Amino acid sequence: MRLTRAYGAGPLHLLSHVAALALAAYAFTRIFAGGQPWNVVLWFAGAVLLHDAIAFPLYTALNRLALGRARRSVNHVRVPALLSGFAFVVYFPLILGLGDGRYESATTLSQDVYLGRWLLLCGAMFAVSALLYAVRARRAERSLGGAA
Amino acid sequence: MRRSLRERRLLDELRRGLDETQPETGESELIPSAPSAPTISRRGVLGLTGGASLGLLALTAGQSVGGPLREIALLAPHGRDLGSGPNDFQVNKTARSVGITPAQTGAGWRLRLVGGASQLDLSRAQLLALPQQSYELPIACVEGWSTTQTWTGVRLRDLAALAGVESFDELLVESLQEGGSFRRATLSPGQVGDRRSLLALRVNGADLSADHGFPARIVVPALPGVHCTKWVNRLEFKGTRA
Repeated sequence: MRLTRAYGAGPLHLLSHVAALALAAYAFTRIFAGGQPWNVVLWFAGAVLLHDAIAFPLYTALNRLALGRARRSVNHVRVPALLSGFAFVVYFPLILGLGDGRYESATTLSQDVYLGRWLLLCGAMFAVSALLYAVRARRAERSLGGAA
Repeated sequence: MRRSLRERRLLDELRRGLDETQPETGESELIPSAPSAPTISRRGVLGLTGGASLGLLALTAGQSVGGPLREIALLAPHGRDLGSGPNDFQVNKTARSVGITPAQTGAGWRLRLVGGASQLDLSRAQLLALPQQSYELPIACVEGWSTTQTWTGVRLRDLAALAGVESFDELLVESLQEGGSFRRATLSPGQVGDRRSLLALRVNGADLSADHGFPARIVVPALPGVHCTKWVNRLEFKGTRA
């Protein structure tokens, strides 16, 4: 088929691509109808910079470091670290108390509890992970001992 | 991509631990040519993604579902135990933050009730002398939390009758508050007509607190919390027909 040769994929691919582009364009008109287009640009550029320039090198380096030191137990560090980070990314304005008094004036509550709660949550997740690792290591040792 | 996805059966892959995890093979340019040895199984990645989503759900849902689940909404903005008093439940916007002063809500406060040509000013004592109804209804905030309380007050449809209104297009509710996007809201005849739709004066057997909208607030079933206007001082039935 001539189209496939010129375009590189089948007609269904082309059609669904055009449909997806139209949908994306519609989403953009809705976002910019909100009246703050610079915010959208800022968030996109900020996200790209934050991820590619800071977060990606950081977690790659941390991962290399962890892999070099503890290949078998690395997931026992990765999982609680990822979950703690996940909770932090979602709730950091509360955890770091960035509400600037607005949280308190809207809710009558103080923001003081969230840093402590997050740290306890991190502590609990790493502790559970360590416990699981200890149990696994013990079992592996036993089964090795039994085989010998 | 579809070819790559079809290459492995999901159930077979879910049975494979780290030791049996093999790198992707094939021709696509998306497949790494010299991958490092795997450090996590495919089922591990799936489990981690699902587990993280479930964890976030557990940390958030409690502030809307309530009950014992509220205890595990540790990081949610309204996932807190606020005490056991009648007015000890979640607040969105305190009286002070929207500029309500005690002088405005004191003895001089009146509810202006407008229906067509007629107009009526009612004090809180006069409202309390009208037939009172109590219903257990939720405040469901668009911020993502809810709380169910027992509200007592005058039925909106009784107020319509008092204003001499039989049919109307909408009810305009206005608040004392000066700022904020939600100082006024409109309710449909259907919302006003429900027997549980109240101009609430009391909650859980006590007067409303300043932060919960004293002297009077709207509570309507299945209405977003932001439209349950607090510190109401004017109700106008629009498009009335005799």
